[in-house]
Amino acid sequence: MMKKILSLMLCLALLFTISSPVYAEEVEDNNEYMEEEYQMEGTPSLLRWSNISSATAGLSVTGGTAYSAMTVQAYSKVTTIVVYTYIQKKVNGVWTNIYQGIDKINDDYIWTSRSTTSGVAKGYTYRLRGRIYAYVGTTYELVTIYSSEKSY
Amino acid sequence: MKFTGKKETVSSGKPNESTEDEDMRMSKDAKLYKGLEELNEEKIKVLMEAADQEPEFSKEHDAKMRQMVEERFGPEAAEKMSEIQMTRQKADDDEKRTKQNGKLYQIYPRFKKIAAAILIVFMLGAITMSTEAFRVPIVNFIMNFQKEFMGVSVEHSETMVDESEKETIEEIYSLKKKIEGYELFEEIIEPRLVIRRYKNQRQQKYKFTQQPEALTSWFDNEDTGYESVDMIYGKALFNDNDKIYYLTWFYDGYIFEISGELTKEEMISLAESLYFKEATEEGVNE
Repeated sequence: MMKKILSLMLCLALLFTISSPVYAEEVEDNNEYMEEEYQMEGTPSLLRWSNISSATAGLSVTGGTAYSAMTVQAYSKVTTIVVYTYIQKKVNGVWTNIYQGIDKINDDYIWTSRSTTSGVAKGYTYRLRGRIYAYVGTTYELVTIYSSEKSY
Repeated sequence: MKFTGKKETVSSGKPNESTEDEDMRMSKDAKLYKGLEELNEEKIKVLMEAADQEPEFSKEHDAKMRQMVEERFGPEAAEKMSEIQMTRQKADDDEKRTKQNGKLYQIYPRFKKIAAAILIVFMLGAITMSTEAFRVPIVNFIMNFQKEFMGVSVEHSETMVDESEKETIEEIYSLKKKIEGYELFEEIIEPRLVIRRYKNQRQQKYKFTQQPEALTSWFDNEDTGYESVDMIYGKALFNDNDKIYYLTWFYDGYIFEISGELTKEEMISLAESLYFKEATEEGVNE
């Protein structure tokens, strides 16, 4: 009898745990970045903004073309910077990549300038999503930055 | 062809190989594939763990953020931020207490089974409740914190001449002055970006950039000190970021920045030598 009561209570406890509410974040960006991270050589660091001092991101859309510009200033210990540029369009509330570019430099400073006409149409909102990998030796940290959103 | 067991070579894949050799090769291939799969799984696991990690902020960071918010947005905003920080602290404390309660149960394992079961029910209930009550505010706080403060979106200056937001560089500006011993080694002139980089013989560098106002700047806030500086263009922002110094100001619809290992005085002196050099389409117009 005691075993039955204990089992029942444990079941209840388990149900309590399982039934704890799960809050889903608003779906904003369904693009897959795992492949990009998987391609990166070296060891990822859990730290953020330990290798990078500052970064800027700008996007403008004009004449059917989206233009992006990004700069990254890393600390002098940084040996390599890899920057992924994603120009994104908001479609039905979800950010969709319409352009992807990659730049790499063996220095502590990098700038990028990219543009695309593909996927650019009036009536949408656009932004730049920059993913910055800053290496010290073979260990890298990843920082994601965004430009302000632009309506076109 | 007989396999001796001493000389191991990668199979050549010749058609006249015996079944035994082929089996051996297939076995090796299988091992290789298995090894590769394990390596892949390990790397994916590390990446997943890195992706799941939530940021933690130190007390020093909180204090700095409060100071920065007070300077930039006023005491009311700083007070509000302190309240959020206290809420976060309380949530952290509650979480620690809940964990300690869990340890207590481990210390006294010989309680009667029924009491233990009841305790488990209450503890799990408490964990569930605390998760429900605090996790969401914490997550929201961190997200808002990152959105609002990790990225310092540079704002309009009160004394800005042109109120219209420029998206491209229509007029190129330059600096009349140059720090002694430094030479220009890189010049980039793009429709949305002008960069001039200087370095000296000791490989110390500084740079001058001009960008359209439609720009978002991001800084490592944890190691950054902020200071408001009065210049002929109005207020400017001086950042000290672990031996990299930044002076940022607005003028004529553009964001200008000088950064590098220079003193504040050197930077202000350089900034005040700013002059309109040329128009991108109409040629030189100094």
